[in-house]
Amino acid sequence: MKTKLILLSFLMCGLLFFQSCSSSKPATSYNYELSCNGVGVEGVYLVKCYSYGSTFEKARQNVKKDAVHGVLFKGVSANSIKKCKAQSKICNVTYAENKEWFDNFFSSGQYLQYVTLSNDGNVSSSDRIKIKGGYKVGFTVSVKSDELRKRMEKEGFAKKMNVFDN
Amino acid sequence: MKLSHFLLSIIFCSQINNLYSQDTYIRPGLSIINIDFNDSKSNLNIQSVESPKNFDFLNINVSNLSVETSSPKKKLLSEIAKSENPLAGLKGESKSSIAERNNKILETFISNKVSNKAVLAAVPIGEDGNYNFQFVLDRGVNTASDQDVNLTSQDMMGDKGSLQDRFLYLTEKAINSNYVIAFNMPNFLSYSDETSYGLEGVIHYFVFKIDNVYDADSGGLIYAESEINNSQIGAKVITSKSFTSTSTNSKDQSLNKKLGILPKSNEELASELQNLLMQKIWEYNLREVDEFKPKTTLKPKNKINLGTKEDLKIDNRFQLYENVLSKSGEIVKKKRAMLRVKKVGVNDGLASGDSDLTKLYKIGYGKSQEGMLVVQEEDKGIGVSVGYGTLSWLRLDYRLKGITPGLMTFIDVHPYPGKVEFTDYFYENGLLGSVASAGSSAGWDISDDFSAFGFNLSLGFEKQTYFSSALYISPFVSGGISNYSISGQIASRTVIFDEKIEWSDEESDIYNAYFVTGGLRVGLQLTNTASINLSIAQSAVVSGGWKDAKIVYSIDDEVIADGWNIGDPTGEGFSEESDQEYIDAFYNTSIDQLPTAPAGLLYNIMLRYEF
Repeated sequence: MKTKLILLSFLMCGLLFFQSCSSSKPATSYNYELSCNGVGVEGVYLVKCYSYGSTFEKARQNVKKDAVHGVLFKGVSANSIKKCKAQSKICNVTYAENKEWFDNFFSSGQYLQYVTLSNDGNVSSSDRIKIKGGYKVGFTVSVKSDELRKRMEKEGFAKKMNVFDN
Repeated sequence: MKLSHFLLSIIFCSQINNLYSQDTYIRPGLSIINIDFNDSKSNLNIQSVESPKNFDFLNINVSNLSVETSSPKKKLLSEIAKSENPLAGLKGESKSSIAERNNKILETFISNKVSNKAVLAAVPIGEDGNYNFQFVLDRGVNTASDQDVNLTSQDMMGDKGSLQDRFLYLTEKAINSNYVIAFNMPNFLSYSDETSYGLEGVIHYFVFKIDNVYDADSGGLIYAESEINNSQIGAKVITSKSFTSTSTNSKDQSLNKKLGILPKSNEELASELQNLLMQKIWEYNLREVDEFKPKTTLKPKNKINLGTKEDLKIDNRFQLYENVLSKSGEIVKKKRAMLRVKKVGVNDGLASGDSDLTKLYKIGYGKSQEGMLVVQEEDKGIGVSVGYGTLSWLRLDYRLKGITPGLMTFIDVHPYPGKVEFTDYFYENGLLGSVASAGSSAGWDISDDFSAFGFNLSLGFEKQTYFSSALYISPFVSGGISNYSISGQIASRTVIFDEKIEWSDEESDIYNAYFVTGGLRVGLQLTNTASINLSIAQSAVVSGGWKDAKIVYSIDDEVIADGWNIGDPTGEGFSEESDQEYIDAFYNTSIDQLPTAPAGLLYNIMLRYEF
């Protein structure tokens, strides 16, 4: 009986160990704040994206990915000061439902053709905030929303827009 | 540019309003006027005032403003010296008096429509009766910093907005950053002290910030052309201050005569004095008025988007701040490091966004990272060092900004004040020995009431070169004078007459030499402003050396005879001794702890603080 108990205990520990290994973190974490930052030309969202990173440079590296992710899955919040309205998310599916495709979309750099850093990447010092464990940095980014939507529609991740919709 | 185009641009630009924060800088628009008080009329020639490049000078249509109040109280040196209680003259006015006067001045300033005229200086009305926005645009182009331009270059149309459109956005800042400085400079007074004569003057000045008159969200200027003259445009006094200074000629013109230099004329003295007073004002403005401090965001490799347009000079000081999210959730600015200008970027004229950058170098500790806020917070550039060693134990230095990084001029002082102990040998040799040996038997009272004073003073230049932000070397050269002299009474006798034997006032030196020194300092910053320095130097005498000193015999204060102290006795007294080795040996034997003139290999260790 005692031997069985010891074996059982080892088995439980082993299970717990493998379970912890299998619950790996997602390949990319998305932590950002996104708001509209002005009225761009048709088909372009001008957004202010606050990204996080352990360094300023890492936050800069994350911002384009964060902005595209936000436009696809979260939408863009309104900004009364900038006189621009909210924009709903493009995708009608979740990232998790098509994880493999979106992991590839972001890791292969395909998303970069839909996003550019504005102001030549310049950031005002008031948009660079030291927080615990890193930095929160606000960049102005323009996202080619129309082209991004067409791509998502083609992949079947977004409903086709009614041409009469605004 | 047509007004309609301008307004269209405003609508466009208003959409991108507040895209960047207040942590950017545009050269403030500045108009200057005279201000007269009941007791003090200003005689400043406004046309002769040269504003630093850091300001965008505007032509206001106001020459004088008269205010029904008295001028600030600021006593001149000559007035303080004459007063019964000089210390009372140093006391400033109370804050309430200053506030009361400033309120009266502001009231007059606004009621006389000076604010309106300042706005018209920034946005004039053209011949067609409309605002001349082309003038504003031209100003915007030349007053904006490259950072402003970069932060407005966003991709709005799938392409960058035109340069002109981007500058139009800056007009809001250009129009709202509008200041007036009012000067009160009464006639200069004549000045004289023991060594110099010339002029002395005072200047009072008041800085007004004109209220914002431009709001892009509301479509532009708040006041239409037709109503600008009659509107009540506000302002506030952001600072006021008084300064005094003197401009003088030396009373002793012998050296100037030898060099062929004429003393300054009254006009030259007046011009120099006005420049000195103005210099004090501009330096104070830059140090103390927040609105006038150039600021920007730090770029990689400690570079910034400011330069010659903002009047930067090598070794100007900047403080680096970082926005930090506090535990309470507030964003606070924290000072992170101190930097100085290493190389000034040339960015005059059009702010293209890719003008030359200015390179900074870090002093002391703390981190400097891209994206931090850099603010020019100018120091006085004066360093004080105290320490110990054979070289000197007190040094004052002054940073010479605008020439090469780390260049300073310094003055080394090594005084030996106080009484020096003389040995018996001193009283047994030389002429003094003769007097002493006669001693009390001849009725002489050897008073021993004399002392030796020595000092070592040198003036030089050094250049700090940093290996890292905390460690530097500083080679230096200097030249100066070493001098030891004896003074006071040696003996007295009052048997029949009042007889005295004293050291001569004219030939009292026992050592006088000119020397040159060259060496090296190694410095370690303890903080951003304090450092510890180890100096090693070689000093050599170029002329002069040991000297004999004279003794004077007088009866009832009438000089009867004088003679050298340690020369050989002759029939007519003692001859002057000039043998360096002999005099050196004499004083080294006869004076305890004889101060050593700096020569040969010298060293010291000093603690330095820079203000």
